[in-house]
Parts: sequence; C-alpha cells; structure tokens
Amino acid sequence: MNFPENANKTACRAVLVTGLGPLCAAATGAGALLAALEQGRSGITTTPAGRTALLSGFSAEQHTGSDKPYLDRCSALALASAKLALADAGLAAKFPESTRAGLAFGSAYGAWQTMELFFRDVAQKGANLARPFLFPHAYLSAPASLIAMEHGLHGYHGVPASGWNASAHALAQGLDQVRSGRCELFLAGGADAGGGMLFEALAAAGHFEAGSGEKSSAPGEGAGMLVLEEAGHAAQRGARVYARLAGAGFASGEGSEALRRALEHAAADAGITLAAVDGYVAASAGGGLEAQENEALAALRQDASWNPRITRVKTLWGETFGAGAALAASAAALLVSGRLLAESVTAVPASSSPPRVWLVGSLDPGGAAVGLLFTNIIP
Amino acid sequence: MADPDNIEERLKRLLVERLFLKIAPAAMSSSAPLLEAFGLDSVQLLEFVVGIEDEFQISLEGTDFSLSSFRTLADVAGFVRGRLGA
Amino acid sequence: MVITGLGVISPLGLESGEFWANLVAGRSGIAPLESLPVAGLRYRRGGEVRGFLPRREWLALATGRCSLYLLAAGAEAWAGSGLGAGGERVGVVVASNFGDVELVEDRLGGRETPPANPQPTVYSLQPIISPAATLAGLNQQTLADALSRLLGARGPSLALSLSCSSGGAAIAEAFDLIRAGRADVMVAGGADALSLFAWSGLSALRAMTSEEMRPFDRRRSGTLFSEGAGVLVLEDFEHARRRGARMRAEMLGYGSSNNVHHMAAPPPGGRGLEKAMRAALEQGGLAPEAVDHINAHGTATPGNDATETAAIKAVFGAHARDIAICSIKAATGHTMGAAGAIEAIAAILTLEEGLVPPTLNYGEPDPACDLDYTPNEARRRTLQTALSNSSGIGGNNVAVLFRRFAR
Repeated sequence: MNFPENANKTACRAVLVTGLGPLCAAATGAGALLAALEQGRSGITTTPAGRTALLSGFSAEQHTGSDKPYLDRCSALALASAKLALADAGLAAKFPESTRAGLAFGSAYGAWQTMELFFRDVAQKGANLARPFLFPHAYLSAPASLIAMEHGLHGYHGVPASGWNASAHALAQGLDQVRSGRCELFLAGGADAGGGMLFEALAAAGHFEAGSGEKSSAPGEGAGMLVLEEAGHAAQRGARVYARLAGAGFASGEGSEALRRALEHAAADAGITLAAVDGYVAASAGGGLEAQENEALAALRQDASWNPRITRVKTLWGETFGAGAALAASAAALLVSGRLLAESVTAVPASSSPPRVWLVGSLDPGGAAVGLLFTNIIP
Repeated sequence: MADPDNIEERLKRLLVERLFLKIAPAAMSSSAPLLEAFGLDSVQLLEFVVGIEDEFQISLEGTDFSLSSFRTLADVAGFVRGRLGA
Repeated sequence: MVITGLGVISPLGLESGEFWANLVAGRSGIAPLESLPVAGLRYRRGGEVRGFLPRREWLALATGRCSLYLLAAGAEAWAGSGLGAGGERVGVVVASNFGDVELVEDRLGGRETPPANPQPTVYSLQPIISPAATLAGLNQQTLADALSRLLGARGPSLALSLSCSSGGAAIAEAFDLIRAGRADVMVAGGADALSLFAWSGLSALRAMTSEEMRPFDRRRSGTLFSEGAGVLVLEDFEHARRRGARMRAEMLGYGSSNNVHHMAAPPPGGRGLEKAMRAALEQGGLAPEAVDHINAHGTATPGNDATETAAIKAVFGAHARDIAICSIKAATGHTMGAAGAIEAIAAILTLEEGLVPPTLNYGEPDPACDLDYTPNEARRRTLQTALSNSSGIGGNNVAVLFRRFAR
C-alpha cells in the first residue's frame, strides 16, 4: 500500500511524531502511557461525589522544575506535558531564536481556576482591588504563552479554544505548518484542568451521569503535548519516530454526521480511503457522545465498508476535554509504532502486522468533529 | 494607629502571599532594594500596590508610587505610615 | 485567496458602511461608559456598542453579548458575500479573548441586574445562572457553533483565543484551512464585549488612560478598551470567480509569532512583531518595498507604540517612512479580540477606497515614533498592499497581508 501525494494544495512534507508528553490520571509520560494501555490500568477513581479522573498527586514544581511563583493548574499541566514531550523527543529544553519552531496549544476551559480566583476578588472587594498579577494568567492563551517562553518557541503560535476538539485542532495546525514548510519543529496538543465549578457545571448540565457504571464516561483532567517534526529534520538528528501524522479532517453539524465526514476527510487528506485504516481511537467513552459516535461508525461500516478495530482509551483516563484528542493521538502514535504489544482491556489488538493506520476521532458536544490519521508508513 | 514594625510585617506578609513568593516573611530584609531582592517586575509591583490598598484601605494613584517610595520595604512602610497619618 | 464579505459592529457603527463613514470622518466612539457599574471603576471611559437591536434569530442562537456581536457582524459579512447557502465546504473560525464571560460572572456573583437603560443596548440581557450558561461562558467554541448554525456552515468550525491578536489569528486560520483544501469558504471573525471581568483586569494592569487615547503621540498614556466584532468571508479565488463574486481584496499571507519575553510587557525592539510581519511578507512573496499601508496595532500605550514603530523600521528600513500608517484605536477604542478583524477590514476598505483613515488625537511627535501615522485627517493615497498588525498579552503577534483586488 502506498500513500500517493495527497490533494492538499500546500507543499507536502512528511510530519512525524517524535515525542510524547502524556499527563493524565492513568499515566505520566510515554512509558507510563504504554504500560497503562497494555495493562488496561485505569486512573479513574470513585468517590461519593462520583467517578473522576483527576491527577491527585500532581505538583507543578515536580514536573516543570521551574521556580515560577504562580501557575494556574491548566498552565502547570501544559508546562509539565511540554517538558515531558521535549525530553521524550531528545530535544533541548530551550530553542534558539533562529529555529523554525512553532506551538499550538488547545484548551476547552483554559485557566478557569485563575479566572475564578481573580473574579471572586472583584465581586467581593470591587474592581479597583482586582489583582494585576493574576489577570494575565487567566487568559485562555496563558498556558501557550508560558510554554513559548519556557522553551523558546518564537514562531507560529496557535491557541485553539474549540472545546473538546481543542487539541485536535492544535495537532492539525501543527500538521499544516510543518507540511507547508513554515515550521520544522512543532509542539502541539492541549490541556484542561478539572474539578470545582467546572465539574459541577458539567455534571449539572448532564454531560456526566453521577455514580454510573464503569463503562460510562468520567470527567478528568490532563495534558497531551506532542512533538511534530519535519521528516528531514528528524532524520538529520536521528530522532526516534513513533508515527507519521498523515491527515486531518474537519466537519460540523448536528448529530453523528459531522464525525462521519471528519473521518472521511482525514483519510482523504492522507490520500487514502477509510478501507485502508486498521483501527480507530474513539472520541467518547459513554454518554450521549458515544451513541453519536457509534452511529457514525455504523454508517461508515455500511457505506464505506469500514470495520476498524476500536479502542476506547477514555475508559482509562476519563474525558479530558481540550486534552482529549492529544492523549488519544498519543495512544494512536504508540499503536502504529508497534511498541504496544500486549493485549489490553481497551480492545487494542495484540500485534497487528504492519502497515498500521489508525484514525483518532474527536467530538465536541456542540457538534464539531475532527479526525486525525496516524500511520507507520513514512515515505 | 499601627506601630511601625507591624506595618513592615504586614507588608512582608502581603508581598509573599500576593506574589506567591517562596520565602518566609521573617527572612525578608526591610532595607534590601525591593525590586532586585525579590525579583519583582512592573506587574508584580502593581500587585504589591493593590495589596497595600487592600490591606491598609488606602488608594494609591499613579503619582503616589514613584520608585523612590518603593526602593525598600522600609520606604514603603514609611510611605504607608504617612498616608495613615500615624 | 480573496475576501468576498465584510461585517463590522463597533462603537463607530452597527455595520461596515457606517463604521467606515465615521472612521474616515474622524469621529470617535469613545465615551463615558453606560453598561458597567462605573462608580467603582478607576477608568470610566471606553467604547460601547450602542443602539444595537439584535434580530430574533441572533438572540435564539447567542449565549451572551460577545456572541450577539459576532452574529451581527457575521450576518452582514455573509449577506455581502452573496453566498446564500452554507454547506459542507463552508467553515467558521472565530476568536475572542473572553467570549461570553459575563455568564461566568453571573455564576460567581459579580453581575447585578443592570438598571433600565434609556438607550437600549444588549446589556439589558439579564444575568443567567445555569450550568449550561456557565459552560457557554467558559467555552468559546459556543461562539463558533452559533455562527456555524446561523449560516448553515457545516465545514470546519473552531474557536481560537489569542488575547488581543485573536482577530488576526482567526483570519490566519481561515487562510490556512482554505489553502490546505479543507474548505472553499471560511467565515473568520473576532469578537469581544466589555465585561466587569475584562475591565477590572485591564484596569488593574494600568494600561488604560484617564486622558484621551493618543496613538504614537509623545503624550500617549494608555489605551481605552472597547467592544465589537469584525467578520470576513475568505474564499478560494477559483470558487469566487466561478460564482462571479464581488472580490473586495486578495489575501496574500500572514505571519504569527510569540515574543518569548513576558506575560504582560512588550519586548524592547519589537522582535516578535517584526518576525510576524516578515513571515507575512515571505508567505505573500512580497518585497518590503511593496507595502504601502499599515493598519497598526497602535494601542497608545507608551510601550506598544514605540515597540511597534521599531519593528516596522526593522522590517522596512528606509521605506518605513513612505508607508501610510494609521491606528484606528483612538476612534474605535481597543476592541480586544475583535481588533485584529475590525482593523483588517479597515485595511481592506482603505485599499478599496484609496483613503487612509486618520490616527486621532495626534499632536506632538515622539522621537521613538517618527513615522507617518496619518494624523487627525483621512488622506487620499494610491495603495496596492496593506498589512494589519495585532499583538496581545502573553506576547502573541499576528500580521495579515492584503492586496487591492485588481478588477
């Protein structure tokens, strides 16, 4: 099987995944994610308040090794994940200004904890006692700014705020920037912090059913930054390659139909048909989104004869919103790399023989969908 | 009103709390140059100003917080004392 | 890539024609605030959208004021494009600093029921406390979903948030998505509404002025924040040509960068913005000497305007003095996430009309700002190409590059 030059109008360079920085309730780092997937080890915990997938022992200092006085939890997760990804890729922690390095960081809810901390003060004490030091940390783009400053990412700067698709859009921005030759190195992914006002609102709005069974979805938190690299750049430095990010597809609309089109577009963007795709990393784990996703998969089974192996990784680390697609993409990168060998409870196959092509689905409750295609076929 | 030492102590505590400094208030020098000793930038200085406004219920406008009144914690304490009429 | 639709809602007017007429006439939308509880505020003047009566279909889709502005400007841009039906090849990308943040304020107990307002504004919307409202306030994809539904767009739909470079970033993303073949048409917009949250934070940073906004003037002492939305319809040239669309301008490229400097302060020398402008020229295949006009970020803060001038001089050298530069912010106020989009629209109208809008309140030259800023009065110029700059807190920069469409 070969990947023909795709229909993309921009100059087409291969985009490789060379570093993973997963951070979620089930795993910290690529090695731990691999183990969690192999052993089907879940990070979801059950408390009287319901099932959640929070990072209980996470501290920013431990991961970032920086002396920043204040970090919002979303920013801390993002910085920790970025650091893990760069270390995993064997890259320097700080890039010189000349490097064509870009960043895309996505988040659904951003630095909402700082927003809350900041605004409660305003509500109680009045606007004139608002805290200038906290305010810049409350922007949704604050984690991205901090990552750029920490690692010297001067180039393209993207901050998707596209809900539960945010990191999928960030990865697609990375794909387009590296593909077109604008960047040779790219840090892409996302983060979201959980708990408090956010989880209360999500539960009350019916996104998660309290106290439901193991198969239902649980709200979580985490970050997933990936290092994307132009193939020539990766080869030159002898980088270890997990996978190639070969396509992305977008759609929006009502119900399952948007996801169906997004997946088809992702395959087409990679120059293949869905029939050539071996597996699918699901966007959902329970709830209304799962019904929608299953409908899309059923339609594709019927219309496109697509019958992929399916893994629902979110049963291991919950719904991580803006980080969800990036964590799923990290799993997909491990899957196509061939490193994931053991049978797992998430229905990951023992060792599907190469070539391996996996699609990652991403779905926002508002109706927008993204597909991302990963493969071990590198031209 | 408040005794002089107490104002300095309150300033140290609010500086540490508001800027999340990893330093014990007791270990802070009142005579060290404020910006350099604690690595404060302009936004952090503004935060300190808001902290003073909140803690001492006074209002500082642009002309009030000239760098000369904010050279050291002792200077700031003196400035606050003056504003409180102590 | 061409621009086939424009829509603006701002303190200078509720649609693009009114906006442009007021802009070139040298009027300003800055006034004492009516919508925020001004009594307790350090700064009490800004730019407000006034006299806006939203249509019923916008109210049905919008979750707050920011999304209403977006839908209003989006509807104008869409109507102007003559596209009619949306569909699978039409996408939406919107960007905002804070979206419908008043819904989060309601949850946290900050917003009181506004007093009856003699001049009806959308602020008369009542506080809402519900889980769905809180989520809509936190999640800016709500804005993109609303605009996608209004237009029947079923292609890509995404929100971005890049502080005050948001509007430029949305245009850049639309450009990339069409270039990559992911859509034929992208509706790109920036929007923000004044809120107690934003106003108190921006006041606390003391980037605002108690005087007039004076971009590039020696006496400049800060910016004044404002609200509104700007929406552009970007379209693949062939697609536009086939349907006989009115082409307003050509988009040549964009540049995006981060300063890698400080969360709130601009870097001396403007290296980040310099990179963004250079990248836009490189992508557009344009020599620096070919740029005729720059719609500057020009916030009237002491830092930004000197930094931006230095960046322009670094990119354009001696040619910098021949460029007709302007900042429209003294007229519109700083519309935050909408600024990049509204200013890009102003740049496109400038190319179309051959008329450069003025930088208001300009009187005393600053040695650190020594270029031609089109002071106080609009000026006729023959122009082919224009850049529009945006920068935001956290160090984001975007520059977008347009060329007059040769009919």
